[in-house]
Amino acid sequence: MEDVGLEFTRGLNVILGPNGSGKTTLLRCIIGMLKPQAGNIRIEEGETSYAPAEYFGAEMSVLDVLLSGGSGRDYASYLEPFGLQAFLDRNFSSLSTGEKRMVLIAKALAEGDVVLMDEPTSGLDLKNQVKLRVILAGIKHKVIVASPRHHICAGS
Amino acid sequence: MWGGDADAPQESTYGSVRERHSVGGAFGAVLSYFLLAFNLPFAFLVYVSPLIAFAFALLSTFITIAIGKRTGVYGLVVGGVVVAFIFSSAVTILTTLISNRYPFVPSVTFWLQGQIVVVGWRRDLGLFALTAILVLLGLRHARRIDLVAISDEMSYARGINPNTYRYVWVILVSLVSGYIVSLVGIVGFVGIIVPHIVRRTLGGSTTKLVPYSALLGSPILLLANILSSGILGTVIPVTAITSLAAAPIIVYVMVRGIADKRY
Repeated sequence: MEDVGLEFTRGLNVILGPNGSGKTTLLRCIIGMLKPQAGNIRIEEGETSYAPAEYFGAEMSVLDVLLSGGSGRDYASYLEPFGLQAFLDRNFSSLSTGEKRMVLIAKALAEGDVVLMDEPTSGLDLKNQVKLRVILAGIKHKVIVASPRHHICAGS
Repeated sequence: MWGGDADAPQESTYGSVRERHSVGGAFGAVLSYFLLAFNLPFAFLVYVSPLIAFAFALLSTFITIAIGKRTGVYGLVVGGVVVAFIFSSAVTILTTLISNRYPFVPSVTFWLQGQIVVVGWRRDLGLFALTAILVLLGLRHARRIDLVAISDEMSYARGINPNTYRYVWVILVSLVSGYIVSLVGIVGFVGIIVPHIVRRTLGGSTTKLVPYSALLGSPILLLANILSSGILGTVIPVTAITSLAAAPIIVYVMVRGIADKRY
């Protein structure tokens, strides 16, 4: 990627692009996982959180996944919109792809002031995609979503 | 005490790495044992025997990780087995050479395969302190260790460099287990089966793995030690007992693990 100049505002920011265009790379630069060859990235406010597209098969309860990292933030209010309260004692690795995705999204929303999401709608059924869109539409955080076009279309 | 060694901060595959540094550590320890006991050249090295054990533990661990980095999870397991064979062959060659050259040197078979009685009480305080520090540190970092086990991206976002973090823990665990191995020899498989039992019964969060592995590891090793010290009519190296008990459990866990993934 060359000549990338971006400023993200409060509310929902979407990075659209086809597969392999560098959306995830850009997100990884923002969290410091990758260093840009030139230029710099500045985060002006609060904590950063990330809802990844891929992750290891964590064999622990959903509650332990939510508490991991020890941020001490209150995640409870983000469980209800996704209907996740009943999942807390379940083994995270036994959940479906979409359920895992929703747990990690709820965790990211609870923990971050700047929330990065990598293809959050992939793996979600239509109902949950709509739910996510509704939640993100009313969000006060600074949310940066990377998504290939078709997922966003399906969601809205 | 051995149970405390069972708290590696990674997924189960890292159990393989842990067994490896046991063998590497044992090689270093055997080397210095011979040097001291029989006034062989460089006998002064024995005073730093735990350090030598630690150095070889670390060496074998990093060789295994280097293989695993290029080949993935299964490469890590196979690499671990290969490294174990290299070091146990080195131990065999060393003991054979020494016994040919210095026939009065007694066999180290028992010590090498774990014999807790050798330790005595003198070093127990040091062993306990080191293990307790590792367990407490593991508990304190449990939530962060969990995060690193879930996702690299989530770790970076939280300000933790997962690669550095893993290396720090590998070095810490190698340090403690290298020291333990230099005193009691290799006691195989306890570090693999105990966390798996905890994982299956209480879940795989580090908040549970660390304290319950430490608690469960001690009685299991004690039981194996009772079985090995004469109950079968003769003294048997303790690692033979733990390995026999562990084999079916490991096969069960692997088969379950593969079966679980077929959905």
